[in-house]
Amino acid sequence: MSAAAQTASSEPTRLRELVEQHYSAIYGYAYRLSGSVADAEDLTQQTFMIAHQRMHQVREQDKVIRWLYTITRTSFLKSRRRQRPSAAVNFELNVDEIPDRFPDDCPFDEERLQSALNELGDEFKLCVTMFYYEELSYKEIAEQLDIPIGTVMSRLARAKGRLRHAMATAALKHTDESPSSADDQDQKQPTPIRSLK
Amino acid sequence: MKSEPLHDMIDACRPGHDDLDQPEFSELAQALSEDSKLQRVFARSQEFDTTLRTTFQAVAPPPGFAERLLASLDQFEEEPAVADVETAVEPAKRTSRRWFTVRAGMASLATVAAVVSIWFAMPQQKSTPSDRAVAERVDRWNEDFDEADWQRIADVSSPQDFPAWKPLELRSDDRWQWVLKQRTLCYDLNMTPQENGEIVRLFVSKPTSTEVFPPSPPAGYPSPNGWHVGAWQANGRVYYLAVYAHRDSKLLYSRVIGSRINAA
Repeated sequence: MSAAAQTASSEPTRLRELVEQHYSAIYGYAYRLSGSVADAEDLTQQTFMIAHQRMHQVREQDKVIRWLYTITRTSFLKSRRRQRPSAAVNFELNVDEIPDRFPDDCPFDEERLQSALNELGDEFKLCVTMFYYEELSYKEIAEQLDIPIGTVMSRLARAKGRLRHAMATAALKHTDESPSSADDQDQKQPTPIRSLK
Repeated sequence: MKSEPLHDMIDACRPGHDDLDQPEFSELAQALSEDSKLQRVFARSQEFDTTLRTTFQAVAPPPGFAERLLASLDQFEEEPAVADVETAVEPAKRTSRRWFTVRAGMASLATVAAVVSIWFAMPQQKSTPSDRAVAERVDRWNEDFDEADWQRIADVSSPQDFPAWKPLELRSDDRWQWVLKQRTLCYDLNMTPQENGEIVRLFVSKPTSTEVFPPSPPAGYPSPNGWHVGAWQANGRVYYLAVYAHRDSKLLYSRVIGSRINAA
């Protein structure tokens, strides 16, 4: 069997391996970006279809997951091309609202996180997802998105400010709703953690 | 020392990584060694990031998704590519009826071409499109970009046609790409300082025989998609300036054209 024929016959196996190894990570990434299960499934499927067509581009196996994230991101952006720019989001952060310590049973679960994420504009959501999900440094984010480093820092700071605000609101609501002793209430009183901006 | 850049640096430091040891964070490292309050802020930020990262990554695909995905990809592999289908189909024999259709089609095309020629030969009255029409046109262009097609000025020198006006100087970080099948050139300009992901784009196209624009940037018009847009004509080109800011697109637009952009 020729080398070309061997490559062709091994492609399906390779695709299957690729899917089995990475579908969960890619789905999670797609879900964080798109905010819906149906869109995340579509994005994941699209990612692997494109990956299958461009399998020959893969040079370094240990960077496959980064390559797949890039395909997902590009597909997401293309799908959003026909949407309006996101509405202005209030990024103002009242530091007094942030509790010093979040309760262990803080109800800020992944759904609440997603709803806070959905309120961010795409450019902020991309930065923060690349930071938390892919664990990229701000320099790597700047390179990937082809935007200045200062813009990444600024977007990260603002997006994180918004997430903190959402998290703090959830924690405070939870504190207010939870029946607990006076001592507990004292411990959960919000105290400023930093004076910023 | 300004606290804002330091806080931005704190936000850019990933927990569990050696970001703080990097040279670009030396200012933050120095400040942390001297300021116990900042240390507490840093510790809280790292704690927050760790918690959030865990929550961020805790997404499980729905049950059965892997199977559905693999099945759909198998189906994708089995479907022959369009090119394969086309080559597999035998070319149909040309019947006399088909030849009649071809001839009738060619006659219709000739008629249409004649009408078009007469239309273009007639003197056209030029008019200025309404602000709203211009804004909606730019909205459509703004929806038609391919993120992968951007070329950086630093990497590939851009086509000419960028206006020689000082407020709109090209920098190496700026990008460009063709839109509308290479009929319009778009420059994506980085504003200095960078604020809130603001977008400034300049579209350059050739004038048409039916439209005329003012010779210098007008006050502009808000587009349905939240941009502020204005078009003008100079040096045999039509320029469309489109600006987007989260808070106030008009303000940013006036900041750009307020620098007295006059026809060169």
